[in-house]
Order: sequence, then structure tokens, then C-alpha cells
Amino acid sequence: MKRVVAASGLVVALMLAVPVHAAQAPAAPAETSVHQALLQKNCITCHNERNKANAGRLSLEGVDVGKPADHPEVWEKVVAKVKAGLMPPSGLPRPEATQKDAFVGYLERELDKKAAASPNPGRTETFHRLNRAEYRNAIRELFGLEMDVTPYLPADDASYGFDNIAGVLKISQSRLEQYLSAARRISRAALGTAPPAPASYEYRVKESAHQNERAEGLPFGTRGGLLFRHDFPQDAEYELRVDLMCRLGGECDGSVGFPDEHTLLVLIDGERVTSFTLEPRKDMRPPQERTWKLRLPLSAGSHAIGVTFLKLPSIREIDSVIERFDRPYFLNGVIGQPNNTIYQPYLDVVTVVGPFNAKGPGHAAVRQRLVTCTPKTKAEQEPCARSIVAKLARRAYRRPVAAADLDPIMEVYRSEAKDAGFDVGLEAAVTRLLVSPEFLYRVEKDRPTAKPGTNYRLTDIELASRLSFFLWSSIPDEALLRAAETGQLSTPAGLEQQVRRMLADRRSNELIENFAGQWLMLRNLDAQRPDMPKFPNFDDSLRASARRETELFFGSVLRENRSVMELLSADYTFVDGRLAKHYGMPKIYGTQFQRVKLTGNRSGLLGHASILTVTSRPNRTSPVLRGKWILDNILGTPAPDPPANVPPLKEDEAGTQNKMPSVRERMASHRANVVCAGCHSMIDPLGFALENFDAVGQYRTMDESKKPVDASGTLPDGSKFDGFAGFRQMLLREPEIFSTTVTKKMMIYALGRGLEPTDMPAVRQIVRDAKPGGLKLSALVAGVVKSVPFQMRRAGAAAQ
Amino acid sequence: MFVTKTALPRRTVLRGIGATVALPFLDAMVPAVRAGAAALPAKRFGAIYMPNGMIVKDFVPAEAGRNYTITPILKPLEKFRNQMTVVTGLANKPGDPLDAGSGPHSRVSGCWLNGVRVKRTENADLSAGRTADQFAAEVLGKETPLRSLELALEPNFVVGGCEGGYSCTYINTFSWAAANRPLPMETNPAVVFERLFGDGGPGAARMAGLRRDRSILDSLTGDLARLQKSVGPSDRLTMDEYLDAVRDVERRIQATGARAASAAETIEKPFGIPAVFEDHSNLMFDLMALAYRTDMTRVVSFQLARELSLRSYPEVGVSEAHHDISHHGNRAENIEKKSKIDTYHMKLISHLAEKLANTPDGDGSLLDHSMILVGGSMGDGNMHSPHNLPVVLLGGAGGAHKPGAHVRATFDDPFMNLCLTVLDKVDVHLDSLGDSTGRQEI
Repeated sequence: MKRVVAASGLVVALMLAVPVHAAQAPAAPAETSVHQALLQKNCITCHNERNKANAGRLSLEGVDVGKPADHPEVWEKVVAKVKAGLMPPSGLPRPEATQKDAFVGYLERELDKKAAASPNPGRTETFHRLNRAEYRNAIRELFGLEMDVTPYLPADDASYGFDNIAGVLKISQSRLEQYLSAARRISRAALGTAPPAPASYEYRVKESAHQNERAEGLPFGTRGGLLFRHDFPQDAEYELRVDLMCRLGGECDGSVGFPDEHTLLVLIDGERVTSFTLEPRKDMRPPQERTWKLRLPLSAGSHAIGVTFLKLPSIREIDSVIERFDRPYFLNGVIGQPNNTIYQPYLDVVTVVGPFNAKGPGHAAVRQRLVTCTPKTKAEQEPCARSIVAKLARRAYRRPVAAADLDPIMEVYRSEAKDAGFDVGLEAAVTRLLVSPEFLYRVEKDRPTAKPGTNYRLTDIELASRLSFFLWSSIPDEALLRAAETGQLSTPAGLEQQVRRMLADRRSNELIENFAGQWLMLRNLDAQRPDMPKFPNFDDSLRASARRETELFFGSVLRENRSVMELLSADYTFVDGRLAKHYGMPKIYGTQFQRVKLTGNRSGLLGHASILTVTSRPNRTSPVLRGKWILDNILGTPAPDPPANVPPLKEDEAGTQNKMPSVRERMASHRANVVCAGCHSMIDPLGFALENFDAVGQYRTMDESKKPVDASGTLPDGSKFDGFAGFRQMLLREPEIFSTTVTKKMMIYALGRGLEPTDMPAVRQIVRDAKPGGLKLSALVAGVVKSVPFQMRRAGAAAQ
Repeated sequence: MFVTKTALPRRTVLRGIGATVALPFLDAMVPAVRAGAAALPAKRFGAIYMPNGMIVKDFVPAEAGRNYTITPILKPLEKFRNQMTVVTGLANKPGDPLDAGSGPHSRVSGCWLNGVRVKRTENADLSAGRTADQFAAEVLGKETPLRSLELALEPNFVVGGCEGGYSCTYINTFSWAAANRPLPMETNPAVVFERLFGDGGPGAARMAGLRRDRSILDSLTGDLARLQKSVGPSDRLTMDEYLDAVRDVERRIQATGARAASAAETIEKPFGIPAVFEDHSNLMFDLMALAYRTDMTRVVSFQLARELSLRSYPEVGVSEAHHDISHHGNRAENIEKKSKIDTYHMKLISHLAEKLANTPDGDGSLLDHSMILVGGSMGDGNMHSPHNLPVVLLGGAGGAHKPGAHVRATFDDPFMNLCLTVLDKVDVHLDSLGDSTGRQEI
């Protein structure tokens, strides 16, 4: 490996506090021999060349413990496992705590010393395609459009647990076609051009949504329905089509009517524009009509459309009886089966069709924001278009633009404007810009002056993009771009000020949604389908509330400058009525979230319904999944891969099916089998600690097999715990472990690449720097931003 | 409990196809599109993937030859037994585990149609191999606007569900244009529809749109070349990919020409993903058949579910996650549940068979002219075993193949041998593929 440090690298190194021990002399031979003895005694029995395959493919033979920096890939593994108390495995002799600390401390010191002397910032790919969320946010930022184009964008492949990893975000014909089609859609909406034909957009009630309560944002006294914003391209007439669930229509088999009169309300921007009356059918025969149409003039721009039912007081009593099963798309325990037995009408779909009799693009805010000049003569047209494109390109490309950037776009403008005029030309130019590689990719070209394999510091402009994609999942705003252009990001104070500003901005909700959403696997809630007969209360609104709780909680720790450890220990959380009911908290109603103090069984993330649900199977808890989750996301040492061929469990061969074994009984078989025991003795007990929470996160004292929950366990390091509270205390004992895990995950997300062993010194530095201030989560975020891998990059092979 | 027979309201099915669409429209457009097409019906190739292994005992017929007794998993396809071929006993050894901890699901998914061991990585050095469907696309796709179409039913927003060390890419797709070029699979019917037929404007506007797309793509090539020059050789791969994508789209616009314009006038597009799983499946299969029928493409790959899928199947009374239940631990009740899922998948596929069989195409039906390879990359999913793979071939490849038998292959012969034969039947001839050792007689 080359030991070259570019001069520019030193500038950054100076910005970072040099670790105090970096200047220490090389390890004394005596110290080395102590560690060698520890290795011989506690590690090499398993981790040798011969037994490597059975020992996590790690051999500690033939690597010199006197020179850890020569093999960071080996020693960083050792540090992680030993520090987390996972090695040596339970049951085998362990070094004394002081010995262990000295050993780990020594390794870290040596590894960090090397990194301080010759940092390796690593290298995120040169081309980093925007993922769906980033693209969507960029479009909002550029045009102020409400439209959600994500369904039309290609899905992103994930690596390292995140969907923003540069190396695997690829392009292909189908993806380019999708980008083209999204770009057409966006430029049309931004300019307010009429679509080639009246278009229809469908907004549908989600399949498992509860429709008996007021939906968020709709007036009190209403029941269910939909509220959405829609961008109307032109001043024109539009048709709103309201469809009810098919059970009310003649085409549905076994459909029934309903005994009361119902009123369907249509609201535009909060104003009731009309209502329809649904006649009762005492004979329970289906009504004639199922679709209601309304045609009305609307101004171009964004309007909020609401469609809902007036809530009938008389229905309330019945609610409480059948509420649990009363869902339009839930029948016989099957989600997705239309339920034809419900006694009241439900909304299915609202379709917006138009424009008809279009009167032009009007004065939609979106258009006015983009079209900043109005050419009065033909001669003024092209200069006007060029100025619009120039402004847009600067923001879209996230850098100052030159004539060479604009010329190809203006070429497209000219070829279209020639016959079809200014608007059409401009629309084509905007479309063209949105499929430009410089918009679709974050581009970090090697500094021309940097020799291959040397480090160089990113420009302020590049740094601005790294910052905004990290903290906002979006492009830099004007203020950030300007700060970069004026060199403010190269000063520690300037950088810190931007980070503070950006975290305070609501756009940093994206960090919570995308980083926490993936790190904590909140996103998986949408796909989680708890077994309906067992958990009839689990529905979309609970799903949404559970996710919201964790997001609000993470946000509060981040923005209130709390310690990252509070993520595990906090005695407060956020609940709405739905979640409060789920948690058994009295007297909290409605859809507003409120901060509540926790007493009793829950505290910290591990008591959140969201996390407890995504780490469960549809019909039961899974100590294995939960244990794996904790290993990976809390302790930062993912479980080793399962062996190549898992032998069938003994009891399975016998086919004992007489009674349902308890979870613990099932797990016992993991540990009875020698091939499985190595890992499962590490994984399962972590999961046992959460056994008091069922598969949707409700507190319980009896498990699936109707036996009292036993939430006790022994950790690999031999320490015993009884129940969640005791377990949590153990996690809190060594704050460095959890804060290192959070930092590692955040680094992957911030850099858009997996971490190398050579990144670990930077991770430790961030944690070390945050320690005196109390390990604030916000300090870890700032630490990532200031770190070598974030600020610098290693040059690749030379350009030819 | 078996809840399969609930009659789906007709409208729900149509809803997928669009608010105002009626199927007759689709029929109406066919002559317009196929008018002037060559006299000899084109051959179509398809590949449909089922994950997490299969209950082998409920799949493999007891007897070889034409008079085999139908098995429980094949039952939903019984109606088509004269148009299908069952092949058993083959293996995909590149999916075998070598040592501990090596992502069995990623490996089998990645090697299904190429017989190549995939590289363990989560980075830009993803590597599998060009798959049979893409070899087919190169030949069969010469005259069609789209060389191939890749479809799936499971959206891939689930995180943390992939195997350690392997990018999720390996299980998100089984179709690879080249070793480093995975092809994404689309789950949204609206997007598929738009790729096939545009966004539904009148012919003149659509032609103008195509012209504009072309001028946009033309000007992109310049940008890409400029970027290409300014970066090092290892970074050029991405821009190469981009450039190839641009050329593919250009080629597609050229090939589309007037015929898509006429198609677009008569079809409206579907909206979003239908709420009911079976509707989604049926709609995607409808689109697959429609793509064949309108000759927009002759090659379609379809992933019914991905490896490691955690979907539960309440439709057939299975509340456990699919992957969990596939590790049945030899418990009878679990085996039965996995078998139910496998059978249900065959039922979904029978919708496609029905559709193809009922679509006249030249002198016969679409099914007669197709070769649809249905299967998975593991036999016993409990053991992650890529041996004794389940395979069903639908169709007669335009007379090149006589379906109707259960072919029992020499045990553990490479599955790639069969892939080569299947490709032969649709006039795509390769010397070898992955670990092939010859050709499998069928």
C-alpha cells in the first residue's frame, strides 16, 4: 500500500483534533508479548489457520500483534467482537476485564496512530445516482411541485442496509425510460402545459385503512375518506369522480346496501363544495349508483381535495362491537378480500380527470416561480429561455454552470421552439435538463492535480452536495450553495453553522425518515403483515402511528441535543390515541401526537411497537430476529452467516407435533445442536430480553404457548439479566459500543458506501470527540461531517 | 382454511387496467398493431421464477412420459397438460454452498438462468452472468421495440432483508444483461403499461413526443462523451451504462414508429398496484400477454416473489412468512403450508397459460408459439439445495417442441443443459451456458 499523503490532506488533518495518544512511541516489546500471550490463551485455540472455516473465517495465526496497523482488516474485527463482549464465546475462558481493556486499548491506539499519520479517506464512486427519495426531494426543491413522482421512478437496490449506496445504483434502458417519462411529467406540470389528452389520476384508500374514524386533516364529525393534494396544470374544468367500495355496486356478488342515509362531502382547499346523499336501502339491496361525478372549474396550481362521509352518531355504538373486524378489505382473516358484509358505505377511489376547456396555464405559483421572464417579442424568447435554464441548471447540477452546460439544453429548446413556440421549447429544455447525467448523478471527479492513490480535499461545492444529501436527502438550497461559493464551508465555524441550520430546518426530517427509517428498519413496517386473526387490531393507522412514534422520538433526541444513549434509555415517547390504546395508556385520544412520560415497562427504542413488530414473524415473536437486530443495530457486530448446510433439528426429525412448543423450547434446540450453538448462544438471549412484548409490541406476561414469559438470559460475557429493564441497563453500561454503532451506520449512509477497516479510526475519533459533551446525537452527526472520509477522497486511477 | 374461491368482483379486476378501460379496447387494437406482420408467427420466450424452493414430493410426478399422474402442485396447470412439459432431476451447482456463510438465497437467485456463481459483494463489483432470457432477447428482440421486459410482484423497499455480504440486487432480479449489469424488475403495472404504450395521448401528439425524445437523447450523447473524457477508466463504466441505455431508448423509439401511436389511441393506462394480490398478479400476467400479442417484445422475465420473501399467504390459509415456512424443519404441517404456497403460485401462472392459450396468433394460439420456462433455483428449500429443481415448460415453441410429457433427466445434470435446449427451441443457439455440459433432451 502506498504511504502517500497529499499536502492538501494535512489541512483537514489539522482541523480534526489529533488523538492524544497519536504521538506515543511504538509499542514496547514487553507490551506486545503480553497481548500475544492473551491471544494464544484466549483466541488462537479456535482462530487458527486450520480451523478458520469454523471460526468466522478469521485466523489470528501469522499476523503480528506487534504491528496491528499492517492488518487493519483482521484487528478491527477483533476490536469489535472483544469490545462488545461477544468474544471469547460464552463458556470459554475469558481474560480479566483489565487485561481485555488493555488489549483492546492497545489495538485501537496502534490502528488510530497509523490512520493519523497516513489517513485513508476511502473513495465513494465517482458517479452516485440519486435514489427515489433524493430525486423526489430535488424536484420539490427545484420546482415547488407537490406531485409525488416516486411511483414512476425505478426502485433502488440496497446494500449495507441502505438504498443510497453509489456502487449498486445502476442505470439501464428501463430506468432511463422511467426518468424520461418522469421528466416529461414534471416539466409539463411545472410549466402548466396541457397534457396531450385529458389525463386521469387515481387516489385510492389503502387496503387495510380503518374507515370508521376521522382521517388526518379532514373535518371533525367526518368518517374515513381521503385527503390529497393535486397539481392542476391549467385554469380549466376538471372532473372529480368518486367511487365507493364495490360491494355497494350491482356487479358485486353478495353485496348489500345499508340501512341509514349517508352524506358524502367533497371539499376543496378545506371548503365544502358539494355533498351527495346516499339513500338508505332498508331492504339492504345495493343502491343503483356507485359513482358520483362532479365537474368544476379550478385555477391552475395545487389544491387540496378531500372526500369523506359525515359520521352518523347512531353508528358509534355498533362501532365498538365490530370495530375490530370492520375493515373494507378484510374478510375471513384475509387482508385484501373485499368485505361484503359491512353496513355502511366506504370510499374506494377518487379520480381527477382533466383538463377540459382549458384556458391556459394561469398564474399557478409553480409556473411563476420557474418562468421568471415574459418575452414580449420573438427576439426576446431565446434569451429569456436561456436565463431560466441557467438558473435551473445551477440548482439542478448543484454548482455554477458554464455556457458548455447550457448549450446542449438550448439546442433542444431551439429545435422544439422553432415550430411550436416558447412554452413547448422551454418544456423540452426542462425535460432535457432532468435527464442530464449531471442532474441524475452526484459527480465527484478526481482532482486533476491529485496523483492516483493520494488523498485530496473535496471542494466546497462538492462538500455542499455531500452535506445536503446527507442531512436532507436533497440538493443544496440557495443558502448552502452560496456558502459553498463564498468559501464558508472550508472554515470550521462556517461548516458548523450550516450543519446547525440544516438540522433545524424541517428538511432534515428526511434524515430521520431515510436514515433512521432504514437503520431501524421502520420502512419494513409497510410490508409487515401481522396475522390478522391473531392481531386484529393491527391496521394501517397503527402502522403509521408506530412509525411516527419512532421518527418523532429520534427527531427529539437529535434536535434537543440529547445523548445518543437516550435512544435506549429515554423515559419519554410520543403517542397518539391509536398508539396509546395499543400501549394501554389511558385518556389519550385523537390523531395528534403528544409527548408522554413512560412509567413501567417501556423505555427507549427497544420498547417501540415499530421495532418490536418489524423484528417479529407475522404470527409470533422471534428471539432470533430480535437478537440479530440487536447485534447488528445496537451492538454493531452483525451475527455471522449461518453455516452452509444447517442440519435438521433433532426434534424435527422425530416430528413431534403433539403440542406447541414455547418459543424458548424451540430455541433450546438451537443451542443443543453444536453447529448452531456457537452463534445462537449469542443471538437468542438478546431476543429473550424482549419476550415481554408480543409480535406487534404489546406488553404481555403469557407467551404464544400460553406459558408465563421468561425474559431472563445470559449474555456471552456471562452476565445475567432478568427482563427488559435489566437488559437495558447492561446496554447502557458501555456507551461507547452503542454510540460507535450509530456512528458507523451514519457513516455508511453519509458516504453512500460500505465502511472499510481503514474507516474505523475516523469512527472512533467521532465518538471520542463527542464524549466530553455527553455523546450528543447531534454531535455525532457533526462529527461525521467533519471526519476525514466525509471531507476528503482518495484519487483513483489516472484519467487518460 | 382455503379461501380461494371468493369471486372477485369483475370491476376490481378491471380497475387495475384503468378507470374507464374495457378489455374490448385491447382486442380492438390488435389488428391495427399486427397488421402487416410477417406471415410466420414469431416465437416468444418467457421465464417465471418461484423462490424459496419447492416441496419436491408434491411436485415431481411418479411416472415419466406422457401418462404421468398429475401431482398436487401441478394440479392448477392440469388443464394445459398437453401444452406443458415437466422436467425434473436437474441441478444448478453454482448455487451449491462452498463454505460456511455464503448467502444461499442470493447465490441461487443470481445463478438461476446463467449457471454462474455470483460474487459476494455489496459494492460496484457486482458480478453474475448474462442470463438465458437476455441471450434470447438479443436474437428475438431484434425487430421489437423492447428487447425484453422484466416484471416482478414484490416491491423492493424492504431493508435489512438481504444476506450479509450480498447486495440486495442479487435477489431483486434474476435477469442480467451482462455479468455486471443486473436488470431491474418492475412491479407497477402503470409503469409497465407506459413503457409498452406511452402515456396515452392522441397519435399526432405522441409522434411529436417521440420526436422530442429523440432530440433530447441526441443531445445527451454529447454530455456523456464529455463526462466520459473527464474521468478515469474505472469510472467510465457508469457512463458506458448510461450511453448504452440512451442507445437502447433511441433504438426503441425508432422501432416503435407508427404502430405504438395507433395502439396508444385505443388504450388507457392502469393506475398503481392493485390492492388485492391476485389482481396484481393477474394484471401483470395480462400485461405480459399483451406485450407478446402486440409484439412490443418477445421476451419477458417475471419474478413471482423474490428469494427470502417474507410474504404470508392468507389467500391459502398460510399466515407464516414464506421464507420461514420454507425452512419447514420436516414438520408435516409446515411442509403442507409450503406446498400450498407452491400450488397457489401455479394457480397464478395458470392465469397466464389461459390467456396465452385463448389468444389467437397466426395459425394457432400465443401459447403454441411460446416457450415459457417456469421454475425455481432450489429443490428442497429447507436445505437450500439447488438440486432436483422444479421445471415446467409451457407452450410448443411454434412447433419446435412437442409438449405433454414428464421428462426425468439424469439426476444432477446441469439445469443449463435444459436452458440451452429451451433456447434452441426458440431459435437462439448457444454453444454453452454457465456450467452446461451438453443439451438436455426434452
